Amino acid sequence: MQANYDHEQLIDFIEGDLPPEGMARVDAMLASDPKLRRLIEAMKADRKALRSMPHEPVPVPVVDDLLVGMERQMLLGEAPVDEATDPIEVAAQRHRMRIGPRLLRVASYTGIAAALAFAASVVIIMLTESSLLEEADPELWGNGPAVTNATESADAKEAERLALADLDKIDMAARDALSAIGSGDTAAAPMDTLARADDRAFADPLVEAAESETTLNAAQVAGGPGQFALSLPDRDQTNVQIEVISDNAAETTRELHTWFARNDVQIVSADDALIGFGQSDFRLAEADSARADDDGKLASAKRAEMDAYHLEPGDTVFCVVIDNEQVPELMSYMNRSRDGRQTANIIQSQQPQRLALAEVKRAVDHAQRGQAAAPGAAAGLGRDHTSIASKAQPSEPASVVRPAAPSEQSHESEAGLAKDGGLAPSVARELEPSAMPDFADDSVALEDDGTFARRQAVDAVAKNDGNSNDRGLMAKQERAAELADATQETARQAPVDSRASAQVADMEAADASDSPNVLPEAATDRMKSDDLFLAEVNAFDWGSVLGNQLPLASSTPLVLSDRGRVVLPVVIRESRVAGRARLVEPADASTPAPNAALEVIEEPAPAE
Amino acid sequence: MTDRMTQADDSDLVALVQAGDSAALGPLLRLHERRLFNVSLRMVSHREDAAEVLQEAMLKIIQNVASFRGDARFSTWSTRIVMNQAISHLRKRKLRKTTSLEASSNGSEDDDGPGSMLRHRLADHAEPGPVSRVEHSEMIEQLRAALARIDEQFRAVIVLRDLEGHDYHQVAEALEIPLGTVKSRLFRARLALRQEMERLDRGPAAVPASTDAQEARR
Repeated sequence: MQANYDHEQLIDFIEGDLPPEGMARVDAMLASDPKLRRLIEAMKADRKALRSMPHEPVPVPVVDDLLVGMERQMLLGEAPVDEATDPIEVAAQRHRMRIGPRLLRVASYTGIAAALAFAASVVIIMLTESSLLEEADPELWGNGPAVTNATESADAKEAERLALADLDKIDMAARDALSAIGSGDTAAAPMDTLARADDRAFADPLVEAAESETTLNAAQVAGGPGQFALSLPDRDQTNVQIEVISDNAAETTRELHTWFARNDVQIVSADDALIGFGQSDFRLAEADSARADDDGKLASAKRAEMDAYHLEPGDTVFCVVIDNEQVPELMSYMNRSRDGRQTANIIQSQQPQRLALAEVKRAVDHAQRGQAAAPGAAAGLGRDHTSIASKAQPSEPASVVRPAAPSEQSHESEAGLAKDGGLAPSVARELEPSAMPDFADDSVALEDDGTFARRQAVDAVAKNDGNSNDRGLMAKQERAAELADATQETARQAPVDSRASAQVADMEAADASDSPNVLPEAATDRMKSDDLFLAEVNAFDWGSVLGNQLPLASSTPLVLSDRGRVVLPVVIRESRVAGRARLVEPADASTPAPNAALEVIEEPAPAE
Repeated sequence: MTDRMTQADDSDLVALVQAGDSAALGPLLRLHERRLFNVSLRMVSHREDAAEVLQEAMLKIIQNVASFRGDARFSTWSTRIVMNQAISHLRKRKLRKTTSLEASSNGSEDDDGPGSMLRHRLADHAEPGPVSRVEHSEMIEQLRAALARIDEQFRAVIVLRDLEGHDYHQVAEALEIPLGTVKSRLFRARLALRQEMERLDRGPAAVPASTDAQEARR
């Protein structure tokens, strides 16, 4: 095609370098050849886009490093490396020459490390073999191994102690962080330890899944010692539910926790909560039983579960996600008799059901449509299926407690979702109203001061900036922004007990926006490191959408806000939200990190 | 800073350095550090590699600034050094890849860790309207990927012309090719880029692991 044309003329046309008559001539030529016209137009678009590419900052101060290195060498007065006489050139050459010794040094260190690793592995193999032999025939070893046993035992106990202390530390850090954030003291949040908690509980599988974007689990929601986890077990992992028999629960639980810590097994549910474990299991701790008994549904669910698993009151159940290859080892460990009695059993073991990303998205779409059809439904639910708000404002910590009644609204959407045949049955079941935990009784509206509504409205307007033909919609959005402003003003002026009215205005504002909550892109420097966020997500998809990307930071109880959303503390790691996340403008630019930035992980599906 | 100002500053600083004032070296190099890093980055598509290339190139600039005659602008001359260094780096990398078992990686060459897309997106803000911003951002991403896949000679001409805004004369000087060749190479580079873009549009299956830039060159 293009071979028949004059390349130079075409490139001049693309570059806009032709005189008017030349441009007209090429225009006429392109009019007669639609294929070429498309190509040239695409090339022009490429050129325009390329020219708009921003210059990226230099990640390391190359020049400064270079000059400092050269200056140091000049000051050290090392001998010239060759015949060069120019001091700058000599210093540059010296600097370069130092790369060689540095490489040699690195190589030698690597060699030493490899030798040490090899020696260590030999020692470990020898120890393992001696241990196996000892188990095979202790009599062969006489008195000698007794010393080894004592040493090993002491080591093992020390390792256990350290592992448990580590877990406790992480747990405490997570609680402290949440507590600090709740009280507005963001600086006190021990983020380093939280990051470690995150590393412990959410290793490669989560990252891989987030990156591959191909498969997602059905809701996998659980809590552990130190972290609540919306976990995403790998394909090669199995969920295991373990029952610890009540008469020796504390000791056995301690033993198991130690074993899990030593084998790097992720505990995904503590004994006080078991939600959405592949299926819709739901269990409350004894401490919550009284309250749960008020709700016949929960009590019956609990009784049914206990009956199904032959649990006695006081028995505890917890869950782990374990590598498939570790399952036999776990079973062997579990079956080991302790003091002649069986104290723990595996009561359920299953590989997680996986759900295609497309299905999750479809679920969200359906929920959105269901929401749109539900008159008077709460703002946000199902419309913006995942939105995240910065909640902990140092000046005004979120504090409103009100009896929220989101369940009807939630269930309208969820029921529509469950009826749809396109969903995987497990997901449909999870999204059934009956399968959802009913938070209505103990829900706490962790509401902000109107900032969120303002943001929603402003964002909605922003979204339509580029497509503002719909004047009615624009008017609505402007009204929403005004309402949100009024809400903020009211919230500022009103004492805490009148926040409820502000919330109503807030919801009206969000309703009036009548547009998906698309958050604007901005604030480029915030997402440089892990940060702790409070995330507000719709109740029905918190496990299936959010959970696959954002690990939660703490076992702090989940809180249901009004509008049927769950507020979650999450640790967001930049590496884990790549491609799915967009950084958005903090509600208040003066609010310090880690709460300042907002994050959305999944954009709403485009309207059909 | 305008180009003219940069040029004026360049000349003064270069003169100072050539007269033996080593204190002028820092300002001179810093003046071009970011620009040259971006040339390097667009060429090698990897931030760490780009920094490494830049460091090597800076050393060469330092070593040779005394012999810089001023026939071309300092910016063009330094760009040429970075470009040569980047091409040399790419060739070494290609050699390493060829001999490596990992050569069949599916990822594009511009993978820069899991967060790269986010970082790139973050760097691409400030366009009007969220929808068009997203589309624009996606196009930029795709262009980056396509750019990383085309032949380095084509990449170089596009980097200099479109990303650095050099005129044909500067492109010719920086790449050490005849002025008359620049336009035809630029057209072929745009064509190769378009072909890669279309392949990327069709999806990963349509994108071969290695570039077929030679085909585009014909």
